[in-house]
Amino acid sequence: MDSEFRSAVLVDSEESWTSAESGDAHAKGVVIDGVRKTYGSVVAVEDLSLSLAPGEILCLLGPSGAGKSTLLNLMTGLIRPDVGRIEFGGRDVTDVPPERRGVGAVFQSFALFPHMSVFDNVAFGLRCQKIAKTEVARRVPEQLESVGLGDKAMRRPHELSGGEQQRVAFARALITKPAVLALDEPFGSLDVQLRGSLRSMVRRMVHRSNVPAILITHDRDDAFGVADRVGIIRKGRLLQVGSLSEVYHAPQSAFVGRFLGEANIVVLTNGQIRTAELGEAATMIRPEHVQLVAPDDGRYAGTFVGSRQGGHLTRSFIDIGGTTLQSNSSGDGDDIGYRSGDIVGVTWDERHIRALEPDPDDFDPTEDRA
Amino acid sequence: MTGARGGDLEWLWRLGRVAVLTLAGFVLVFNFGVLLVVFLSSLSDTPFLVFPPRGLTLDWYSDLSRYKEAITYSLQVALVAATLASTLGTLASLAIVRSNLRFKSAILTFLLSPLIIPSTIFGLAVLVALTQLGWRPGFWPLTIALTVHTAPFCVRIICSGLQNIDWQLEAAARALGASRRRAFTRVILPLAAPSIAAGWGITFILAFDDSSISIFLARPTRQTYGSQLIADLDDRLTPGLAAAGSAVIVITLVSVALLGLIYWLQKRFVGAGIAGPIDGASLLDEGRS
Amino acid sequence: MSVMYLEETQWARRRFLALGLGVIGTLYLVAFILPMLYMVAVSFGETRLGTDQFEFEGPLAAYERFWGSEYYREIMFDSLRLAFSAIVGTIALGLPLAYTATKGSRWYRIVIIVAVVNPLFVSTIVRSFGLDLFLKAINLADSFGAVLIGTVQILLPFMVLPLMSGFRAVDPLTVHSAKTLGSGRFRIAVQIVLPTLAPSLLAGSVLVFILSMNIFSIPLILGRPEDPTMALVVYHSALAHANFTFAAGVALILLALALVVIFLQGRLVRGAVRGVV
Repeated sequence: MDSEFRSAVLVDSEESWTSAESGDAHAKGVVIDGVRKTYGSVVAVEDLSLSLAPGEILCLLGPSGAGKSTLLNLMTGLIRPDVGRIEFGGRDVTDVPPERRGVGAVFQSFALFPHMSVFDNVAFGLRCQKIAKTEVARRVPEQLESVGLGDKAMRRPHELSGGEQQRVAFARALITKPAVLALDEPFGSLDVQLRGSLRSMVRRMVHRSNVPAILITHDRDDAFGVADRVGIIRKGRLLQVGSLSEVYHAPQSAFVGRFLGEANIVVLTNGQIRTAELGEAATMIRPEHVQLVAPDDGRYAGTFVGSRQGGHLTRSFIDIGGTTLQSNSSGDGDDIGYRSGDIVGVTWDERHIRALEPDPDDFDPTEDRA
Repeated sequence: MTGARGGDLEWLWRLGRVAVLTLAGFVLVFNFGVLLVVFLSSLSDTPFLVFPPRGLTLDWYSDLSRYKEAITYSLQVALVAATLASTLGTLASLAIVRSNLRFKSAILTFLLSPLIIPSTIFGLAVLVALTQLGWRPGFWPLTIALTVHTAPFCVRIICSGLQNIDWQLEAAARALGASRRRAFTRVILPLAAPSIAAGWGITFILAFDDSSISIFLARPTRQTYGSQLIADLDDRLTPGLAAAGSAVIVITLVSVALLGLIYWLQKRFVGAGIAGPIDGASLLDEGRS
Repeated sequence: MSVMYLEETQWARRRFLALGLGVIGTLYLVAFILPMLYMVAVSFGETRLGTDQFEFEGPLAAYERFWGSEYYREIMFDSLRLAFSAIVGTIALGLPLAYTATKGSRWYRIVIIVAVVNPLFVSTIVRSFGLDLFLKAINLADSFGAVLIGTVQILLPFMVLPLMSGFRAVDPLTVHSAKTLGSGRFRIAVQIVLPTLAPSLLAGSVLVFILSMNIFSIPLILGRPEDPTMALVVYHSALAHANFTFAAGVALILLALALVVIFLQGRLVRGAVRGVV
């Protein structure tokens, strides 16, 4: 998670949270209250409630089929909820058709109009609002400049790279001064290297425009890079909502814990440690909090199995009586100083572990299951 | 090259390739040569139709009046039939592609069913129905029969084209503030236009060239050029007939060129292609798949 | 990625469907289904048409007349002979052309396609006239050969295009692994290419068969009046002799033949698939 998250936080510490007072009429919060949507016998979304402050970015994380896209479609108005209420800036939009809601949508495939130029794509929303030509001619180049595409106005979408297309999609959504931004896996089809800089751009632009935004994704790096708050959704239900720190360090269930990062989920009893079964009450210890010490100094002692270097992280594995514990440390693998077979002790700060309630519905998102 | 026992037959395959090219060339020359024969015969300075032409004159072109009317009539019929077929085909394709019906493939099969009935039989059937109902052949029976006969080609092309559109674009347009109507006319229709145009073009050519149906359904006094040519077969074989044929050839080739232009423009400006009218597998199979 | 269906109200959806499918459906009913039904009825002499000179001798009279007469049986035989010869001719010409068009470079493909497909677009009648004039000049006109040449010329695209798609369906990886295993070209052709090609061959043959049985303009222009095909019989009976009952009867025999052939094709294809799978 790490470097990206940290850099994003550092950049934003100077950011214009002061823009929260901009007072634009469109920049009020979003409220989704008790929404339910079923397709035949399948419940896509159940009793979903959340709210967003102006300029806040909420990232909805969840596995495929969790109901994220359904929620997005509910927000844009492409489908209507069976039960529940949706408000944009205090205005009830539950029964309002998509074109009158004022949602700025960015789709995973970008959905740029292939038969129009970049300029016309971005101008589309303004023209739908019947804005004067001179006004359009002024605002579109401005918006394109702000995403760094000022010189590409006359190109066609298929002539642009993936990253450029995504920026056009953003410009197109933002220029209409929407009441809320709905981003559906906006980085999904882009190269991993690109995502970092684009995430920062998105965060910057959303905060500057002071529009609340919901970003749907299954990639936790999106959450780390962009979100102010994170919500975990699974099988149509919202499991937990909170700040990044809350959700990462204090997950309410093993599922949430596993989804947001690597975790040791174990049961600690009377000097024994074993891997927890799915769903039982357990303790979560993040690998970065597991320290390797001399065997006598640790809470438990075990055999060092090996370590793998993964870029900026080194993952070490320790076997304690049949249970494998993972320990992460930053820096070179060579610094670890242990070799396979060495006896080593593990320990952690008491404040860094988290007790988890039993969860009959638990499943391991890292398992590949149908 | 290990173990390839065909190695010593390499010369045979190379010869074969040359032979095939010659064959292709021969077919090409033959097909166009036949058209050339028609043109050349129209220049013959004789009161009867003969090839090679004897004496060269353009006189027969100055008096195309007999066929001029027929050609104009064919153009009218083809225009109306193509427009009807493509309009109805578009509406039907939209309904099929956009809705959530359960019997889609059955409906598509039904829409493609006229393909199974050969034109001769179909022409006869419509004539029979007309006389049963006490009506006479004429412009509308002919045009409607041609519409129904060519509609399956239209449906096939337009349906394919609509399926290739990214319908999420419509959702994007709606979210940006476009009403249902605007999203359709500004986003969907322009993207569907090339397929619709191609469908129109194909049905136009088919209707224009038709003779098997028009021979049954055109009034003797007002024929399409196809039925007129057949009617004149026994007693009016003059170079004028060949001249009319040449005019028809030009019209058709121009239409085909325009059609090709549409396909090319589509590829160039939008990046995607359009389905062809006879794509590989049997037309008749298409309806049953 | 599934297509997103915007939710419409029930009413809007029904109206939309009614418009889209209703109009064309009605047209089909009135201008297609109805005439076919009428034709069936008329072939049985059910209804008397104004100028129908056919004496009503019983419901199956038209059919009896056809089958009972050696003259008409000959005609049917001749038509079948023409159709099968056309199939052979189009396969003989079409196989090498389709193969080269698929495997060759872009230019080969363009040239071959243009060469083969243009008969589709320029009127059959005009083309047949040209061919007739040409054949008259070299004294080959008005014969079975002339009709066959004309038929093959017009129907070649209906064989080449399915064959092209069939060749495209041959998995190059399978061919390649067979080559590395030591199979000669001939064996590859028979054991790998042919089975994949078979459905397309069948499809093309069915098309050529049905079309050659039913086109009357080619035998009309290029053949002898004394040697008509079944399609010409339909044409003559209906328009020259105003004998609609007989014409309808023969037309229905042709239609039945076409439907049987299509049905058999479907059966064979399904059987082949099951065999492979």
